[in-house]
Amino acid sequence: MANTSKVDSKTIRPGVKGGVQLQYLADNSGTTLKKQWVRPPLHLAKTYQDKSWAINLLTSPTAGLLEGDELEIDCKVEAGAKAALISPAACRVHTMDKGNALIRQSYVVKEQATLDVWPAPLVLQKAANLIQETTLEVDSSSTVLLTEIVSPGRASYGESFDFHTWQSKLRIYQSGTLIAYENFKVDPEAGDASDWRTRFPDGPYVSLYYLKHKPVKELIEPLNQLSNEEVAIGASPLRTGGLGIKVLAQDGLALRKSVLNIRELLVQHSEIEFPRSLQRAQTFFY
Amino acid sequence: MNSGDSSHEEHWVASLLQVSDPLFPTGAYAHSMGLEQWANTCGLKTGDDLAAFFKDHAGPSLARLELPYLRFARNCIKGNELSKLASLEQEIDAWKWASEIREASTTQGRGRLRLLNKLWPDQRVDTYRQLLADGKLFGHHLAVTALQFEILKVPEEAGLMAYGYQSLANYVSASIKLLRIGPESAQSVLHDGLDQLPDWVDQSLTVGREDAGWFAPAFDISCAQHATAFSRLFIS
Repeated sequence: MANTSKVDSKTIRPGVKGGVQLQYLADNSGTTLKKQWVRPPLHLAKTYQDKSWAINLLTSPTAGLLEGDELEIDCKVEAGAKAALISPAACRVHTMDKGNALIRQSYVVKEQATLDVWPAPLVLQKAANLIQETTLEVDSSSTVLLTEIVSPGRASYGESFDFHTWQSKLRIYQSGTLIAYENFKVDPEAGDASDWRTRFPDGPYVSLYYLKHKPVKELIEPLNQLSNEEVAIGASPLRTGGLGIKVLAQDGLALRKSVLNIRELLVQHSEIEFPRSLQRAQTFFY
Repeated sequence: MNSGDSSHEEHWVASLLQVSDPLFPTGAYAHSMGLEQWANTCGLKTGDDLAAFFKDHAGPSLARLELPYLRFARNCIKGNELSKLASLEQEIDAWKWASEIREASTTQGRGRLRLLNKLWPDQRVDTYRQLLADGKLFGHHLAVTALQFEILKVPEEAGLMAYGYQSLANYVSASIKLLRIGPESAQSVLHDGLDQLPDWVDQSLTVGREDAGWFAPAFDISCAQHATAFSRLFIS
């Protein structure tokens, strides 16, 4: 009987559908989180105020995403505001019998605003199915750092590319024009991860977009030169300004080092003072 | 002569051979389309290495990304839906992540368009050129090739096969300068790739707009690094 109820509870567990809605406004004191709504599987910590920035930590109280879970992030940064969204702990996407977890993100960044999205890795565990949909709409006068990090399994368990599928669709619009579009499905069993594994068979992947109303040509060579035996980095200009940066790292340590090195170059180039409390907040990297 | 003026129903074959020939001057000879840096990064040396590149990279990219978009573009042209073509080209421009590959695509597309205008004058070419001049289209190789196939009345699957052939043949042509591979070995590799091409074409026909895409971060990184490489033979 006990066994039956255990099976039933597993079978009927409803997915958790939640997320956050955030709106940041610029005001006399800097940036204020004007509106917020949060619901599991996310938790929103108290806003840090540092200089003219508002910094929010997003964490998962359920220790990750299970089958049927849906997580929506809807973030608006109004004109002149500066916001950072940090997730300081890896988010695990757990083993699933069937079905999938979904992460849907929407960011809108208005005139002269700044947004830094800097999460710790998503970890695709054995038999995980994850669908991601990300949309960023940014005004051409604004600055955005959008980072995504995906780990192909729990390295400490020797897990590597045992997930079922990872599907991702990303659209970036700059002043209404589509400037970056990614759409793919990675099914390691079908051989879709062969390119990813070419350089580092078990390593994580990082995608970073840097949008800034300023020439970026001078950044490309120094970013590419950050590549070494432990990490491959490629930076390429987008048609209307800004950069796409992709990173493949040997392991988590190389990943941390490379992301920090890349951010140092980008932050310097942005000529925007990023707050030191970002470092206190992003404990995965510091 | 416009291919449509011919009374011979297979006239498109001769036209297709002409536009698919490496002698057709679109500037493709100056591009390795990422192979140069990839060969350097991955230590490709032999015909077998090139064959593996076809199987793991070029083939899946054709099947899941390029050939579906060629089909979508052709459908827009066939239906005279130029606003949809403009939206499609914007999307093509946005998924061509590496700037060298993006620029190579528009350079070759515009070269092909110039010749299309000269050799097969057609109202649709005039319209495309006007929209390009107005900044409403990009001249991506996929879109211009679709226009070309439509004007030459090339059957859909033959067009997809021809585009696949051109892509593989371009890599083979570049490989002769990049790898230790002679003309005969190069033809063997091309033959091997063309043997698989019908499967890639078939697969491409099942891919819808929402699903079209391919994940190749290592190749993208390599293409980006080519732009700042110390020495290089090819533009891309």
